[in-house]
Amino acid sequence: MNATKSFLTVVLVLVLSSIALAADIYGEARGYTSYSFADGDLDYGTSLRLKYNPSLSDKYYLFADLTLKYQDENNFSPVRLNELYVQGIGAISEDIDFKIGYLHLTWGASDAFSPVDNVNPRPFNQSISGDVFDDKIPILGLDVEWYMNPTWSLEFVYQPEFRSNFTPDYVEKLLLGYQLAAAAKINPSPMDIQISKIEPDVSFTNPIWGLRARGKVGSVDAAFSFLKGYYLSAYPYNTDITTWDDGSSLADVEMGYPERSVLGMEFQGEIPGIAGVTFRADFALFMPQKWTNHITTHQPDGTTSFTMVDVFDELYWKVSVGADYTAGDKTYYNLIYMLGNPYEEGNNVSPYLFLRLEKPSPNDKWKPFLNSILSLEDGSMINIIGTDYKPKDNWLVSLSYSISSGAPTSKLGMTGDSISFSVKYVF
Amino acid sequence: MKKNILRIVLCAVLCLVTYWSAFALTADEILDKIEAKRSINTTQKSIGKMTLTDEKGKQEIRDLVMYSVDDSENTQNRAFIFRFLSPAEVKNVTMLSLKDGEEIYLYMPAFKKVRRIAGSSKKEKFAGTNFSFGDFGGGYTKDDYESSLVSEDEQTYVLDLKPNDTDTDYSKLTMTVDKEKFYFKKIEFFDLEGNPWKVLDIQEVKEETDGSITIMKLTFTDLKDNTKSFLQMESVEKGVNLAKDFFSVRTIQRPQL
Repeated sequence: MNATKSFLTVVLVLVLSSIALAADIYGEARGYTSYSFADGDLDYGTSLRLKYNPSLSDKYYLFADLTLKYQDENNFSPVRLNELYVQGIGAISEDIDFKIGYLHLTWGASDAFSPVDNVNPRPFNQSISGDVFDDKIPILGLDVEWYMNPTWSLEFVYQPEFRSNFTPDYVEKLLLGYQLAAAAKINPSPMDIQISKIEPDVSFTNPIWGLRARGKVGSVDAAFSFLKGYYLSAYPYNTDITTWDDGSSLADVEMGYPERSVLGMEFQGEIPGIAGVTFRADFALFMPQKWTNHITTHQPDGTTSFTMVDVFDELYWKVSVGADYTAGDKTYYNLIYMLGNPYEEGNNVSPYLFLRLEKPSPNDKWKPFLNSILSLEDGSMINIIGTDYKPKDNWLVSLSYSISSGAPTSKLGMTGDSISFSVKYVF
Repeated sequence: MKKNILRIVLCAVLCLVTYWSAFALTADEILDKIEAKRSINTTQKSIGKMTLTDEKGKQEIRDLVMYSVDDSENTQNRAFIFRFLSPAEVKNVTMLSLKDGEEIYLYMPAFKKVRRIAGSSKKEKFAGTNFSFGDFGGGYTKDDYESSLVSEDEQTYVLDLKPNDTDTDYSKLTMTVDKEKFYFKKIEFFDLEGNPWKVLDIQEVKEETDGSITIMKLTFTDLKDNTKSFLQMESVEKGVNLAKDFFSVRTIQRPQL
């Protein structure tokens, strides 16, 4: 069955690629596979991304971006509308640009994960490559940018519909099981979890919104933002656990999306006195709604206990501060300190060090690289060593080997070792 | 009589020496003249093709558009925008250079954000060409180089330029200058060890009615990896009416320029 699906997808990719080549459509076709040595799992998939960006007039443009994707598991959707919007350039007023429709908005200056980039939800992905951070679920919204003067602009985002991150059911239950078991002091393995979720009441009159001022402070490019909305992942607020004599348990979990406001600051520029180094820094102050999980546990002997776990109870920071440098021999260095990864919030936020090294060959066809991420909290680490190869300008082949170290329960040790291969054709 | 002839000859020699010393140009003056030929206060839109040839001789053609503004009064006002229009791999990849190359920004549509390129990042090659960001940067002014006149013949001057910037890839540039029109016909770039590295050959120029020189064809050769970028301008429009804030981060994010 999987082989048939793969074959059909490949056929579909080829057919649509030829149609796209005939029209003014551009995009990319990609095939990828990875093998996890830890659990012997082979993942694979193919995708075709098509983009269309015609001008409707001299001030209005249409942008459509669609992905057809086959993935053996955890596929958010086989047909993904990445973006579909109308863009006005100086259409309403000379100093105002806008986009309306299904949008991807990217905030933040950081090369890796930016803690300021919180508008779009994301599909689940276990990889830590740069592409993953660009993989987003679109929001229905309006994005207006007013260019107040040659130095500063003010951006306003209006989102009348809530969309959440996509996390596969089994992943959500796995993570939740560990959290609940720790809180209720029971064994997580035989726990059956039933989840019900309530989405926040977001509408035209009660939208998610954001403001962002972009400009310069001295010679440094800076941006200051405020985003008023909700967490994009659900958190439990009411949990009812029943345990039985055999050690198994059933958990009914009611989850919701806490309100949050995020104050962001972004900077990029040169470090005075250190020639050739570009720094990029993002700071995000999260102001969450107080959120408590009320856990009721029914023991086999008929007794009932109550526990309250504070999920969010105070302000917290997430940070990404880094610098990049290209040496005379074209070796590229990028070192980033991160406080918090995309999946960590509140009390779980922890520090990491990220290093990216690239050493292109003289003709730029080969680009060996090293991606390392180190948890400064528990010393666990992931090292990805690999190479990109460009046999032709519109082809890219990537091969990488990922090695993780640390205890199985550590931040990064659970990832295990894996090998990945991908081929991309741009047309 | 003999004394008179001797006086006349001495006088003539003295006049000639005075004449030549008055009209011989120093290296800095030659650079000034080149700048004067390019530093006409104007905006410009150029459409062209870049042919990239790899070390095996395979070629790829890219369409491009470039906007620039020159300001002879204040070189800090010099700016340009360079965008690839095709093929898809680099479509709409756009570079913005401000303040005569002091500030460089790169817009890559796939990432939906503008990236500041600073310092030694200017050594990186731009979108698969063998031009570095710094090569695109600005002109060759006496402020940026310590220059000396190496030789001259009837048609050309040859200058040696040593970069004042210590954070550079080049130890020296050797520039061949056309004596009549005052433009550089060829620049040889030497690496930090003094070995020949790149060669910029100007193959065709157009002399405008105001005396300025417009480059129509050039080849940039990397001798180390044996690659070439041939740039041919198909149209060059001068005095283009551009908005006051055209050379900005806002502009390079637009789907069309």
